[in-house]
This record gives sequence, C-alpha cells and structure tokens, in this order.
Amino acid sequence: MKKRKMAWRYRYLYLLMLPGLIYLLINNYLPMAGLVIAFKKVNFRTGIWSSPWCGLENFKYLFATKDAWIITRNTILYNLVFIILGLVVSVALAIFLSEMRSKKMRSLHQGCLLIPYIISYVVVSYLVYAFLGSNGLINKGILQEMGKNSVNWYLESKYWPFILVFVNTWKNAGYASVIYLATILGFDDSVYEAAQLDGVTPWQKIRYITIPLLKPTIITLTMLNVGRIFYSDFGLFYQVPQNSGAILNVTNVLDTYVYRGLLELGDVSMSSAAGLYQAVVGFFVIMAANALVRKISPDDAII
Amino acid sequence: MKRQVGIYSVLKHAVLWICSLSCLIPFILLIISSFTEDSTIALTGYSFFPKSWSLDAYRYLLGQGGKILHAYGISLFVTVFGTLAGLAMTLMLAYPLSRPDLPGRRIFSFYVLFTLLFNGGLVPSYIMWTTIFHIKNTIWALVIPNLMVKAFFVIMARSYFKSNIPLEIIESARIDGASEIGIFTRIVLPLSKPIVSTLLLFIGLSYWNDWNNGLIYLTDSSLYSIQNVLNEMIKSITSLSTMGGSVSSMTTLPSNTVRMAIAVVGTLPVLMAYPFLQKGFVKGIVMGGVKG
Amino acid sequence: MKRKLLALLLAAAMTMTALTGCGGNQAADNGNKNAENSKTEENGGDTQAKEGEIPNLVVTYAYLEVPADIDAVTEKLNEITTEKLGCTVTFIPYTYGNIQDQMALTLASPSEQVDCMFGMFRSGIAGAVGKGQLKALDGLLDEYGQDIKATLGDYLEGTTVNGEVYGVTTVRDLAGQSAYYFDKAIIDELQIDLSAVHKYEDLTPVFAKIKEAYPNLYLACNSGVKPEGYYMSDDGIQDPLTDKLGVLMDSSELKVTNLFESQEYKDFCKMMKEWNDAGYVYPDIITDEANGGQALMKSGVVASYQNVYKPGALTENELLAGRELEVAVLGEPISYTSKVQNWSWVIPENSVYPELAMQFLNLLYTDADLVNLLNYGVEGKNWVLDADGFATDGPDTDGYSDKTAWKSGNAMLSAVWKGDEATLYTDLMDWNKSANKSAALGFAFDSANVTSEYTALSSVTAQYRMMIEWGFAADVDASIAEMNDALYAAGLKEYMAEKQKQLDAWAAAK
Repeated sequence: MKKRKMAWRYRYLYLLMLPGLIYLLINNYLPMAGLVIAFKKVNFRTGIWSSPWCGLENFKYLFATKDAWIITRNTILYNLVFIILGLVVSVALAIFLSEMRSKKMRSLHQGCLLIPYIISYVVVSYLVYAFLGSNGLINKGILQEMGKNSVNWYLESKYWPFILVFVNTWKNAGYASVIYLATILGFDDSVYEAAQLDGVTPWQKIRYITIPLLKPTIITLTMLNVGRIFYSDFGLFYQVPQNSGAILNVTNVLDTYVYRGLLELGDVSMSSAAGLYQAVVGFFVIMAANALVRKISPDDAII
Repeated sequence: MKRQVGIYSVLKHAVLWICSLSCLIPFILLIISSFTEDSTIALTGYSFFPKSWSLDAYRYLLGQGGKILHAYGISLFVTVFGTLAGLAMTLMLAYPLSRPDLPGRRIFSFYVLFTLLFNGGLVPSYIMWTTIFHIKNTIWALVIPNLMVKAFFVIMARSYFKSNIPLEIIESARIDGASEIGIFTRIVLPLSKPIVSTLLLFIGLSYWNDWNNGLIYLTDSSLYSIQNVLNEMIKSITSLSTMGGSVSSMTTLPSNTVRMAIAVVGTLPVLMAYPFLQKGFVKGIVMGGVKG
Repeated sequence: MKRKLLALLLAAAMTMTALTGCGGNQAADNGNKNAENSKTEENGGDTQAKEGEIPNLVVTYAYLEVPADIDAVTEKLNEITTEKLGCTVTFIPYTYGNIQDQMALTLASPSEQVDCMFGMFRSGIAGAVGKGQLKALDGLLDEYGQDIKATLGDYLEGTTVNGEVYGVTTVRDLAGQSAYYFDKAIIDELQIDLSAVHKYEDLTPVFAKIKEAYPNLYLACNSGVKPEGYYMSDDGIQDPLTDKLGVLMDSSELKVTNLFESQEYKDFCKMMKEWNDAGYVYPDIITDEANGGQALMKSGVVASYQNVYKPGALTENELLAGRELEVAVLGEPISYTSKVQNWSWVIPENSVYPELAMQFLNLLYTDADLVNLLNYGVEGKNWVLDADGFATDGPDTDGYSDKTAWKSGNAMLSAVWKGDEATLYTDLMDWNKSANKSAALGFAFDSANVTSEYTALSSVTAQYRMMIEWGFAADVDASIAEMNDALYAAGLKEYMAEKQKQLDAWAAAK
C-alpha cells in the first residue's frame, strides 16, 4: 500500500519514461517471441508455431568445427584488447581535448578524430587496401624506396592482430572520446579551480581529480562493452582483411564464421541460434561484472 | 614543476596532432583518389600525387543526377526527424532512471539493458513491422525500426545525469515546489548541454549512416536514403562483373574511383554541416527547455 | 513491481504469439482458398477472382539497379496482363544488392503476398523447398504451362526436387564452359594461334610468349569478384554437385568423390603454382575487389583473363573490356543442376493466385511483347527496332539501362540487340542442347541434415582454396594434404555420405 503511494508520487517521472519504454517493448521485446525459431525445424508451410521442435540442433554447428576454439579465442581476445586499449586512448584523448583552451582548436581536433567513425567499414577496407595492396602505398612508397622486398600483407597472418587492433582503435577511439569529453565538460569547474590554486601538476590533476570523477562513466561504458564480448564487428574482421583465407587463423571470429557458413544456406533458425548464443554469453558476463562492481562500489553498478 | 607542465603540454599537443592527422590523412587519400584517373589506380596503385587526374567518377555520379539529390532530401528528413524524436525519448527515459529515489529503478534499468543484449533477430522483426505496423515501403521504415531508442544511449545518458546533476539541486527545487517535469526541463536539461550535444551527434550519425532499414523494408527506390543509393551503386558495381550482360551505360564505369567518390558524397556533407547544426540544435533544445 | 513487469512481458509474448499465429492461419486460409479455387477451376470455373474483383498478381523481378522508368514499364506490363490474363500486376524490382535479403524475408513472412518470384538460388532450391516456402508446380504446369514445357523440355528436370518441379528456369546459358579471353592486338602482334588451345595446360606456352614480350602484363586472373580458382567445367566432365564438397569427377557415373584429393585437382594447382612463380598470376587476385578481369584488361594490367563461355560471350566481354578480344574456349560445355537452378522463376507458398501466376509464367514463354518489355524496356522509348530487325538504342535508352535477355523467360522470343549475331538465341539454345548433361542433372542436394558439417566445411574451404588454387601456397602437395585433413576433421566424410545417399535415392526414384 505504502509502496503504491510512493510510486504515485513519482507518476510524472514514470510518464516521462513511458514513450521510451513502449518503444523498446515494441521494437525489442515483441520480436523476441520469434526466438523460438532457434529451437525449431522451421517449415513455413505449416507456420513457425506449428513447426516441430528440434532441441539444440540449430546450435550444433557453432561447436561442430574444430576451429571453435580458435574462433572463440579470437573473439574474446580481440574484444579484451579493444576494450582496454580503446579505454586508455579515448580517455586520454578526452582529457587532452578538455584542456584545450581554444574552443576552435578543440572542435577542429574533435572533427578530425570523428572522421574514421563516419566512414563505413567497406570504405575503410578500400583505404586499408590502398596502403597494403601489392601496389599499395606501403609497398610502393616505403618498402620499395628503402630497397626492401615488398610484403604480401594479406597472406601473412603475423601482422594482422596488430593491423586489426590499429584499425579498430583508429575507427572508434574518437567516438568513445566524445562521450568522456562530454562528461568531463559537465564537471563542476570549482573542483579544478581549487586544484589550480593548490598548485598540483597536470599529472596529479588527472590522477586525483579527473579519473576519479570519470570513474562511473568508465565503469558503465566498459561494462556495456564487456556485455558484447561475444560479438564482433563483421566489417572489421571480414571486409578489412578482404576475406583472405591465408590469415583466417587470426581473423576468424564468431560473426564471420556464422556468415561464411550461412551465406549460402540462409537458414533463419541457425542464425537466430547464433544470435541467442552470443546474447546469453553476454548476459552472464555482464551480470557477473555487475555483481562484482556492486560489491566493490555499489553506486557504479549499472543495474 | 614548471618543467613538468611544459613536458605535459608538449606531449598533449603532440598526441592530439598525431591522432588527428592519422585520422585526416586517409580521408585526404580518399578524396584525392576519387579525383584520380581510374586506370591509374589499377595500374600503379593509390597515391597522394596521382599521375593523372580525372572527374570521371563525379561525372558518373552526376549522371545519376536527380536520384542522388532526392536521396539527400530523404536522408535529411529522416535524420532530423528521427534524431529529434529519438533524442527526446532517450533523455526522458534516462533521467528518471538516474534518480536514486525512483521506485522500481533497478527493474526498469534491467528492462533497458536487456535490450542491449537480446533481440528477436531479423525475421521476427520484419514480420512484426510489416504485418502489424505496415511500414514496408513507407518513409517510416527508415525512421522507426531499431534506431530511435538504443539501450546504449539511454545508459550513457543516465550515467551522465548520475555523475553531473547533483541531487541537492533537485531536492531544493522540489522543496521550492517545482514539479518533476519542471525540474527536468528547467534544471536538468540546461545542465546537460554536453550530453545533449553528444547524443545528438551519435543518434544523428546512426540515422545518417544507416542503410540496413532501407535494405530490409524498402523495395521502392524512390524512398531510398543517400546511403541506400550509394550502397546499391557499390553493390551493382560488384555484381556487374559477375553477372555480365551488355549494359551500355555501365561499360564506362570507373569502378575504383567511383567507390571513393561515393564515400566522399556520403560523408562530406555531414562533416561540413555538423558544426553548424550542432550549435543551433543544442542551443535550441537547452534554451527551449529553460524557457518552457 | 516485479510481478507487473513479468505480466507485461507475458502479455507481450502472448500478443506476439497471437499475431504470428494469425499470420500463419491467414496463409493457411489462403492455401484453402486456393484449393477451393482450383476446385472451382476443375468444375469449369474461369479464374479464381472473387466476384467483380480484378485479381492483382504480385511479381518480383531482379535488376542490376532499379530502372528509372520502372513506372512506365509497370504500366505497360499491366496493359499486357489485363488484356491477356485479365489481371493487374504489382511489379516489385529487387536488385542484385538486396535480392538475397528480400527473398529470405518475404519467403519467411507468412502473410506477404508474392505470386511469382524471379529468384536467385545460389545453392539450389532444395533448401527453400525443404522449408516449405515454394509451391510444387507439376499440376499447374500441366494445366497452364504447356508452352514452358515445350520450350524447356528436359531442363525442367533441373528444377525438380523429390520428383516434383518447383521452379521454372529461363532460357539462357544453362551449361558451363570456361574460356580465356585475350587482347586481340597482342595475339595478332605475336602471331599466336589460339585454335590449338583446348585445355588449361595449353595456355602455358601462350602465356610464356606474351610474358616475354610484355613482362609487365599479367595473364591469369578471372572476371568474377572474389574469383573461383578452379573451374569445374573446364573439361566438360565434372559435376560440382552445387558446392564442390563431394563431386562427380565423371558426371556419367553417380559416384560422389572428394575433388580435392583427385589427381586432376593436384595437377591444376601445381600448374597454377608454376604460373604464379612465373609471374603470370595477377598478384592481387585474392584481394582486389574492385577490378574483374575486364576492368584490369581495360586499364592495361592484364593481357588475358578467364571467364565463362557461351554464344555471344565474346561481344559481351569486348564491350566490358573496351577492346577487341580473342577467345580460347576450353573443354566442352556441361550442364548440371546448379547451372539450371541458379536463377529460376518460382511460385512461393504465399501466393494467392497460383493458377494466374502460372499463366503469367507461361506468357513469359509465349508473348514476345512481354519478353521484350522486361528485357529492354518500353518500345519506342527505351529501345527501338531498327530496319534490320535488331533492337537498338531508343530516345531514352538510359531509362532502362539494365538491358539483358537472360532473365525474362524465353529469350528466343526476344529481339536481338544490335551488335550481336542475329541467330544469338537459337545458337544459345543449340549450344545448350550440345552440352554434356551430367547424369545427376536434376538432383538437388538438400543440406538440411548436415548443416553443421556444411558450416565447418565452408570455413575450411575459405581458408585454403583460394591460396592453393591461385598458386600462392609455398608447397602445393603439403597444403592440399593439410586442407584435406581439415576437411575430413570438419566432417567431409559424413557430408559426402549424405550426398551419396540422397543421390542414390534420387536415382532410384527416377
């Protein structure tokens, strides 16, 4: 009874939330009923609902390959590196940007840093090819000039972990730094002014003021990324390496494996199963992370 | 201490310049190669200083004429409308979630977060949007599905409100008799300029860059957004060589450079217009909030 | 609160169930309606139109890009169908860019009406048949499709699954044959005689001669984007059985074997290795997405490239390569199932007017006006007939830029585009008839029982094939052995066994 009264007091806040909640209900929750096809052998003549159940049959292919281990390893390791490196680079960029005195310079830099994000991965793959192709800028412009043999980049797997990490950071760090920058710019100026008076060094300022204030945002964003640890950007892992088979052992991730397998089959149940598998893993990881954060610093838990 | 400040300042500027240039230079290469002669690229590769220049790629795009202009119009409408609606819904959803005193806050947060991870997949969404809401081949197909409210943005905004809006301000406003909605529009929004402009950018970009909705929900090409038109062109360039066929107008297609020109056409307007749009919008929204 | 949320979710799920359930029922209703309709048909009823209502057929087609004059074409199309079939048509143009997604979605959507679909089935139609997405056509063909049967003859076998016809292919190159296209200027200058070239091996001395004279030109590449390294059809014997994972090395014998262990494959790859070492192979062949062989020839990067052969192919290639070419045709043409099914007209399960749909398809095989409309656009506007009876550019040619005759149906009815041989389509049909027919023509493998093997195998072939088949692997024998080990580990044996089982069952039923 008392609870209901409490809720009534907040009715306007609930009202504010309503459009968003309804949108998510329609756009995200209603179609989830369709996840049953992951467990069915679909026959469209009889309809999805009357199709026979087939248990976990549609999930089998995700584990049937002996590369399952390599694929899982690649997916997780790349994501971990992306998360950590992306965090460091984008926070650093955001801090540097926030300290720019000239607003014009700040938006100039910000604009430049955002360019890679706006370019689609298809185009990024052309650009990477422009640098790495046998006629590319690196082979023709640098290695040849230095009198060295040209490198067949797309056939040598040892370079690709670095290339992919670089491309991913290059493409996304600017975007992520905008989020951190917004948070920093929203801080109360008085904190910094006090510090200025106390004569702290720039390093101390970052370490003892900015980072602690930024911590909740860092934790939130990192957790969201951790939840997507089983997903990978198809464009980055398929288009940027030009689907070259020779480097598959370091470029094959869950999404590209599923894509290659289902390209010709076009099986809805199997792709649905792959999505569900990724989501369930992500769900448990994010819940575990949340529980951990809740223990250490309850205010920063996202749920 | 002074020296430390000096080192720091040099380092800061060096890092920023290196990063900015590394983002800018490939883009310049993109622009230059779109003005290069097609056969030069096939023969000698990409270059910042091509041997021969050419406008063929743009001539080809210009030949498509009205189609591209029309698609720009569609993209503009979809982006403006979708971004404003999406932004409003995102902020309105995020703010109550940031309030530690809201009953049921955790459940609602979970409700939002869950959509970040789970989705019903393409086919169920398609069936729902086309059979219940009948959005196939309407402009709403580009506006409504998937893009409007994203859990990621909601949680981002919530996190901003949480760390940047002091609870005391809200408390004291309430004591002064302000309504919850009044607090949101008159106190919270004006303090949220950075996140509003960030969300504007993000949601706007996700609308401008999206071609997936068009691919799925449109077969009527008169509703194509610019990304759909460009995407279709890229795909038809690639299928041309596999499908063959005597396609008179396609035989002179400069395939290397047209792809670059397409990318320029798709991105340059955003880069040019963004600073102005952002300024105006943010001012409008935040100030509007203050007045309202 | 928690309970409320749960209730909400439950409600959502139930709504969804109800809604999709409805959709399913609706489709079933449609099915019943059709059944009733065909009953009235048998009783001498005219068409399945409800009283006073003009039925509307929904037809999907495929273009390189949607033509600017699509509305004019649709209007013309409606004139023809109103007169000949008494129905209107909603004409939906898919593009090669979106056809795969659009087909997958519309075929999966229970209440979306599509009556005729010109579909792309890169791995055959058996999958769609297995999922219950297509209607069987035998009865309809007997009743309304006599002209289709007369034109296609044996080739209807090619779109048969489990003894029933599910698709109607079009008159086009229904066989495969490989060829190398050379820059004619170079061939003439070096006085090379291509008439002696019949096999891939015969190309080696030709390449050597050209490479000597033009060390900067490459010679081996092919026309596709992401090209196939190994062309099955070059000797006119092998049948790839859709995916090359288990093939008929001798297509007169129904015995599934592993191509990648065959001596032929080894020899081919070794030859490619030699070519690569000699600098014949275009070095970016695996990664260059923008340029097919024709474009590379046009820019002066290569002197020759591989592409398929069929009557009229030389003209087509000359147009794209922008210069005169000379062709070395390799092996013999062979016809196998996937060549026939690759593109086919089908009647989806969602069709509301299957009888009318079949009548429309039959019209594609009898009505020259309709065929020309789909091939070249509106006559007098997008094209005109010249004095010699060839189709040629009209006042607004670009309004219907995608001018090809292989999609619409019976190309033999089509006007011939200026520049091609007047006898192009009869030549094509003769060539089709002359092709060796695989003993498995008509067998459509359904991988539904071995999908997890298939996905694992795809991963392996993606890793090795291009490397080996274009001669980039350092040690050919070792790499082939490695690939075969990986294939067997991924379940090739089970996959081939399933294929053999289905093939035997198919042969027995025949």
